[in-house]
Amino acid sequence: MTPNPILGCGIGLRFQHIDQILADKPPIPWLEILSDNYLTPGSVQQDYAIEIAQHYPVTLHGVGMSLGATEPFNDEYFQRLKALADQLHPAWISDHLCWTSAHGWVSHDLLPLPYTEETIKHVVQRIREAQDRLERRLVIENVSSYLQYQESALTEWEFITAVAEEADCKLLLDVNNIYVSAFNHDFDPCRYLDSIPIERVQQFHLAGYEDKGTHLLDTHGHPVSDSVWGLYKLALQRFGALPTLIEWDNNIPSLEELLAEAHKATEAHIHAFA
Amino acid sequence: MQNKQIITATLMAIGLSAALSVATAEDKKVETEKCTGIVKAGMNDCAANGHSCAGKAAKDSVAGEWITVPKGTCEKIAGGTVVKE
Amino acid sequence: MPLLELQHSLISALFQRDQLAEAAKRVKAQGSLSSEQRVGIYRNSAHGILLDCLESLYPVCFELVGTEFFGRTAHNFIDQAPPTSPFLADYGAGFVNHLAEHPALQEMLWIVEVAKLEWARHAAWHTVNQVASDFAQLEGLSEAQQAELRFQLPASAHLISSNTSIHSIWLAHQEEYPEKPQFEKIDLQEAQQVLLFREQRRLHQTTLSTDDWAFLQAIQQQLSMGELAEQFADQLPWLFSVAMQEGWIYSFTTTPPA
Ligand SMILES: [Fe+2]
Repeated sequence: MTPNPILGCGIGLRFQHIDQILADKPPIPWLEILSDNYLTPGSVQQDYAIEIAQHYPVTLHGVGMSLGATEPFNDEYFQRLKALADQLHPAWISDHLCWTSAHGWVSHDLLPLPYTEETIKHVVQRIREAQDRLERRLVIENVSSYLQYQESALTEWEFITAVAEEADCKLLLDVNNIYVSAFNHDFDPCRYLDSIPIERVQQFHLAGYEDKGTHLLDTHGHPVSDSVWGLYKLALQRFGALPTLIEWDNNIPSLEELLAEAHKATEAHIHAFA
Repeated sequence: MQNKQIITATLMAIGLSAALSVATAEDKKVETEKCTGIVKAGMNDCAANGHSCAGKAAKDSVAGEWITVPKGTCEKIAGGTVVKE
Repeated sequence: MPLLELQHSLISALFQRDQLAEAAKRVKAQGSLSSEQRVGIYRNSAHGILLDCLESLYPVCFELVGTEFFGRTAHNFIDQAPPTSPFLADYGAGFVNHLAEHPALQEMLWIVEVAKLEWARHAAWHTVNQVASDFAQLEGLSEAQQAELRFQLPASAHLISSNTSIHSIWLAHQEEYPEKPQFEKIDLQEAQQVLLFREQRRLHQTTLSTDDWAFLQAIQQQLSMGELAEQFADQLPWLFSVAMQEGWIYSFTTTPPA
């Protein structure tokens, strides 16, 4: 079975909307399924995901690989993820350029890496191993961040570019994350976009942040901000009308509202080249 | 009744109920849902989804300070007995 | 390896307040936020994510004890027992015991009983699907085989016996339940036996009569048909009828358990 093509602007699947989607089958270009919430084999959650995948093109997006960690990979995590992918046939699997585990603990929060040559070597080897385990090329997402390490010697765009080239993986550019990090660390988000190799980028994410005054917080709890729409337009002009996905995880709105946000992204595709 | 007779009667009852529950499966769905009011409570996306959290009440508590009686629905009751209003 | 040390230091700060300053030494101070404040954003975020998770696992307990108390108790729990599994569905079982040990709840241990019920509901949602037996296959067994029959509840089933009216309390906190009991009118001292199980995409939660409770316990203990006939005598056909029609019995085996 070949996966359905992922085209246009989709939404992240949330449990609140599953029944409605399965009952009404509204036209949605594609759905991103949060793999971490569907990893119990043979569970009712997986039943839902399988049914969704029968009707819509899907991708799998996760937070738990802990690609940047130093402890060995969790074998069971990869086995379960691989088994889920074998059932859903996602067009691709993505996770983040970050770490979520150390010292036997799991943060369940995306923690940033120090941007050094040494980290690049380490993460490249980890992504290669993850790709081997999952038997496919991975799509890696940039995270939003609130701190920079003393030892960081490279910019985030230098780091992510080097990792993608050497690990030979694809990139999921979260335009909101770039904007949030640019504000928090006072860099130019356009420079970030301009230095990412065009052919590496597979997908965009859009989400809403919260302005905390001293910093922007990536809460996925608001509509996409105007400035992020602006940055998105530049991204479209540089990378083309790539598949785009709206993430919404706090104050989750109705399905209609969520789809309206995705529709705005579709309109941006049209206007970006006008 | 002898055990043997009980077992025979029981197996008949099981056979009959199994056939009945297949026949009424659809009715039952509607009915149980009404009776229990339980559809998907307890099943949710939890929080593994790559967002950051503002950490609502992340005040670090001073030892002892937080050992006070809860102030939720429990306020209406005290020590397991319902307070008459 | 420096990366390992760095990660050890930062994750410690997420779950141990007193490690925050140490981790901050490896972080740049930028703009209006100090390095400690920056690590603090992550501590808040990691705690907030797990707090959201606990709130969604224990929504009735959350309402019972209120935002403030729940938040503080959860934050202490998070620091005491940080997650160790990448599967978030595994997280939060220990919160029941954490509540049970809380000094302020010693006079209200019925809240802990409600927490047990809520965890069982979560566990039932995450139990693997199973294949139901075809009960037509029961025909044609020899007498000896009949006496050795054993039955099983759904794998997701939880039999919970409580000295508190956990089912009524739970129902009273369901917004969409049309005939929900009024919390103020519930007799908290009323013992309730609750059966909880998942049938496909539905979770069933019901109180059991004393007879049904004893019967399902015997089933769960894998008593054979012969032993069941001994114990329940001529009540047995009726007990089975009810249990079968309610979907409480899911499968059978013809060989004794190993
Ligand atoms: Fe994202």
